[in-house]
Amino acid sequence: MQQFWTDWGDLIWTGTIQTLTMTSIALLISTLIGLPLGTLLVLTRPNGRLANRFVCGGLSSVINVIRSIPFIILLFFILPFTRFIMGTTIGVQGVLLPLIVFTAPYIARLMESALLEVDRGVIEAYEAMGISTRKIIWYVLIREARSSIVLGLTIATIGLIGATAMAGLVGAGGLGDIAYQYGHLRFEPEVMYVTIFVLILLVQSIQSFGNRLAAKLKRA
Amino acid sequence: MIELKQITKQFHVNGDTITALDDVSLTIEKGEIFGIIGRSGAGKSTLIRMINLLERPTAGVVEIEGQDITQLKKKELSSLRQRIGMIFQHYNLLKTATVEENVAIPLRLEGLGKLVIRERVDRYLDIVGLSEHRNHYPEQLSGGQKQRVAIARALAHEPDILLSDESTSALDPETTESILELLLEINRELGLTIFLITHEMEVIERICDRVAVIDHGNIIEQGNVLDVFSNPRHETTQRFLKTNLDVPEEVVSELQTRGTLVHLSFIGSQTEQAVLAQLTKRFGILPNIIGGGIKKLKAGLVGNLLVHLDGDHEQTELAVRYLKTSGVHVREVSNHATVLDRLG
Repeated sequence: MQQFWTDWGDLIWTGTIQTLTMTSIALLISTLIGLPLGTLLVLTRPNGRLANRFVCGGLSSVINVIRSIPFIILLFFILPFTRFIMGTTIGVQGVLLPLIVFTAPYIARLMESALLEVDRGVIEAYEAMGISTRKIIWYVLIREARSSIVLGLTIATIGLIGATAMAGLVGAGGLGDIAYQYGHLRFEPEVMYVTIFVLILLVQSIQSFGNRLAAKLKRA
Repeated sequence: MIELKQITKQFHVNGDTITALDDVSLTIEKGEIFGIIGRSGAGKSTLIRMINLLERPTAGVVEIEGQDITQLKKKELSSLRQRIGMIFQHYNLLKTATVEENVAIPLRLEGLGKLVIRERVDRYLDIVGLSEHRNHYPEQLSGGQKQRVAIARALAHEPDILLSDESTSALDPETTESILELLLEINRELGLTIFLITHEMEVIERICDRVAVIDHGNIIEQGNVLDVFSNPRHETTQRFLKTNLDVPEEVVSELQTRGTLVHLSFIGSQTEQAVLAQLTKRFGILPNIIGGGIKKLKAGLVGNLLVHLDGDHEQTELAVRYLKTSGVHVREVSNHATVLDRLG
């Protein structure tokens, strides 16, 4: 046991940090894109506050198209675009853009369904009080949906962790890469087991943190 | 004063045009409680939303204090809406906010100062009797309490007009009574004009000064509650009034074969006069009371009786005339069909 940690401890630790870094940066940026898009979807849908068939339909199709592509294919498919934007296609920098392109539309959908749960009556009540749409979005729509938003983001985070396993293919490292490199190619099953165990631990703690936060935000 | 002038509202649904309001005109006086009663789908929800323009009329003018509000710019409409409170059937509170926050948040969004907000939250939670529940969340409250929070939220903007959209329809009779009592109090003490829509007779009876009956997007009858209810002209109005004289149909048709069946309404002090005894004494008619009840209207008591007059035809006519001159509202229950309409 002692020996195992001396041999592999650093590697697994580095991998964990890499996975967490990729996940958190990609999650942050994807949320900044996905939440407004989800809100836009809700506002522009028929009978929405800013009903607009073209915006809603167009945005919805784009999201569907991107979401149809599996991450591993997306990763290669948008290589030229990645190089153009990020200046490189390898390492953490090279994988961030594909991760965001993959996750933002997913988050947009998750946010859309969270926001749709908000009772229209409350929104109408605030409209009747002369409060602007902009304020209603933030202080009513997003506030009332916050518990579901947190649950949605928890799901997205776990999805992201899964996607980062593919990041090894462009040399970005991470736990998934270690499991593949050492467990599969070099036949060090212990490394794979430990890596998988760390992944399980991560996913478990993120999910229970998300659940607890959501319950707290729900408040009655 | 609120004036609706020849309001028409049409909706387009899947290529069909639905007329929700058809050339409706109404005047609501300052300080009164005006009620609209109608069945679901009659157009009352659309009508109440004309006053704060949550729905815009297809044609017609909405005037508040002489100003045509359909012409207002966005900003002006916002500040107008702050002067019109609105409460709803399902309360429409923030689930994620406490009682106190539910009242305070809209004020904060309106841009009021902290001190003013605190003072108003205290005052209006006190008026609705919820000061002790200020830190509770809506889910911890009963329906009636939630409606009180919604009322406090509406009042906290210190509006001139309160719109009530079926505000007691989801409440049990006892709670309904207490909410109606609160609305009356607000109307009396704060001088608020209240415009309400309902499908419940008792709401109108209990607190309204004037009433309009809406059916298929048309106002079919309107006036003082006392007048409309003691002398309903329209069939729909009569149907709303059926409630406390539920006499079985067989009884009614049997009685009609021998004698005359009349519906009598006594208003206010006449309730105490012994007019029925006079019928026997003066006309030799034996009045037989089939059913009856007393309603408490805002303006006073109204007694309703369904009476069978057994006697000579000519004498019966004289008796009816006598009743009318004594100030009793008399409606003859003449044939089978109308009996059904009137008595349900």
